Amino acid sequence: MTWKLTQNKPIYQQLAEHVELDIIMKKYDLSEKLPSVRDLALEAGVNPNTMQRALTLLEDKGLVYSERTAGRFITSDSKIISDLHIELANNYTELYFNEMKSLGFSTEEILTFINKLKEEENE
Amino acid sequence: MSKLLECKNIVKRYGKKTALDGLNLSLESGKIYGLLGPNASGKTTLIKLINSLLVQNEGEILVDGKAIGVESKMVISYLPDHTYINANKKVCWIIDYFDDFYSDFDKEKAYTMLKQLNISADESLKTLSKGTKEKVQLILVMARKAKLYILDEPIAGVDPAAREYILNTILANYNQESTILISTHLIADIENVLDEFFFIMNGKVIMNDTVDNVREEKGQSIDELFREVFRC
Amino acid sequence: MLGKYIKHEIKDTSKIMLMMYSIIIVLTLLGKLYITEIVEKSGGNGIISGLLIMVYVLGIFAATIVGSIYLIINFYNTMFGDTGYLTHTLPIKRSTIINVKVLVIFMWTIILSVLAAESVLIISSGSMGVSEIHSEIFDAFNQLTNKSIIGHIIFMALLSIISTILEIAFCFSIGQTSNKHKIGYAILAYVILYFIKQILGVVFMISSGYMFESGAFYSADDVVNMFKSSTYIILIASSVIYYFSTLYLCNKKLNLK
Repeated sequence: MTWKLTQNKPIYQQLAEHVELDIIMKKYDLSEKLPSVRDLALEAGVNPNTMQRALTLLEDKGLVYSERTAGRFITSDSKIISDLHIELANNYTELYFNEMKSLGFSTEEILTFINKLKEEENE
Repeated sequence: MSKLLECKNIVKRYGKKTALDGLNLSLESGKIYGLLGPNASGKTTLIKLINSLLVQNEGEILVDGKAIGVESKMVISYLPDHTYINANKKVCWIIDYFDDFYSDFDKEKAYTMLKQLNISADESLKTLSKGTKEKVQLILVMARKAKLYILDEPIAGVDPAAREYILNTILANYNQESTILISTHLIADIENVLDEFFFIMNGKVIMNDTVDNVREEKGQSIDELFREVFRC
Repeated sequence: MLGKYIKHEIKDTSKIMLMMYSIIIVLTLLGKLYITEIVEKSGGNGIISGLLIMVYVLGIFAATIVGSIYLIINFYNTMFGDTGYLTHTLPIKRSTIINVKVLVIFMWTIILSVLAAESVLIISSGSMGVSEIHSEIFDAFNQLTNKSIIGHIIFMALLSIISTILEIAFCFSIGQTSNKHKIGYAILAYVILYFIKQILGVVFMISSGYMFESGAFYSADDVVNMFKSSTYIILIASSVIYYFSTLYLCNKKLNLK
């Protein structure tokens, strides 16, 4: 099954995000070798050149590094990954926060919604 | 990077009608291109010209720097948009045929792909469903190690599962030394697979860009852009 | 590549042609058997004989006509029909493709004609043995004063077969340039050529009549030679014209749907 991609965002960005998520969700361990660009592209159902661009983006971020003939590997630095984890969390939170604000809720009201979920979780 | 295909100022007329009106297009190696346009925009005419099935009135077409001829046919693998094999023939016959005439044909690869689809080599083409026939024709084309693959409407008229198989096959057989040109009007399905695209209208290329550029700069998919540009 | 293409062309067309050949052979054998066993020995039944003759004649006709039409249709389909896409994207020169196709058709046609002629010969010579028939023909041949005329006749027959094949190929090539009426224009071209040939024939008759009147001929040999040379010239010239025109049309004016 090909990866779910939306229509109006650049494909390479979406691919990068997908792989980032996979890394955070521990689909790949530290220092593990990533599948080849071709294999990933096939799995995603996209052009290998686009996948290559996505992986280069992750290289720039320090999430992966490539060894000339051996291929691409996940970083061995767990801090980079946990930093990314936090960054994503912040992004999601901001997104939710801004959406709720645009619905007209104040910060206090937004916290109420979250606490309600917290209580339901404790039951 | 040298150009694999160059079309310079191509003019093709059918009687009073002008199908291609000074068209310019060039392809580089290692990319997947989309040739996109509505019906009667000149896509099929251009493809026939590249494959020496038509001769242009004006203009020059160069494949790997050489004019169209026997040499260009050796490096081009073409999938027409209709059945081009005698239906009475068996699958094994057409495989041997391709093997005999195309030195870059990989017989083993073809049989492997057929086996994956549970298509027996002994079956005659007329017993196969339309979708299966299309897959067989695609397998023949992709089992060649050509420099330029030209696929004319490879996914039109087939169900979504077959579409996925076809796109998957195209991707799996793509390599850095070759170029794939896909002509279609089903843009949403193949957008994710393309590097660059050409919009063709009234026999001319009216737009040429990469898929991601359009998404970044315009925030639109190619499918959406197409609808906008070619609005009736 | 050339050898492979020849092999494929022959194999593709062989099934139907061999079937036609078998029909002719079987009809001949059965006919001969009927004649030698039944007619000669017990006179046979007039009505049944009549019917069987009809069956034989129709059978031979059908086999030769079906065989010829099959070759024509196969040529058209593989050159200008749907399968034309396969043919014309092969990495082979177009001239090679046309040459091979024409020669293979020629080969099948010769065999078909020879078989049909032999069959008629065998059947029409009643209960004579096959070797008897051939030795009688051989004797008659030896009694000819001008033996070379047989050679000329055979050569002319071959030439006219080639010329006809090329003429049909030429007409198809013209027809395929049209978008909507490929077969229609091909037939039209053939009809026009037919009329041209008729007119040329009349012109020829009239001019040879004049030549005769004005005493241009000294002997019967002169007349024969004139007919011979003009037939050769026409056959060779038309074949050449048809061939190169077909080549030109297929290379520069190909118009596959």
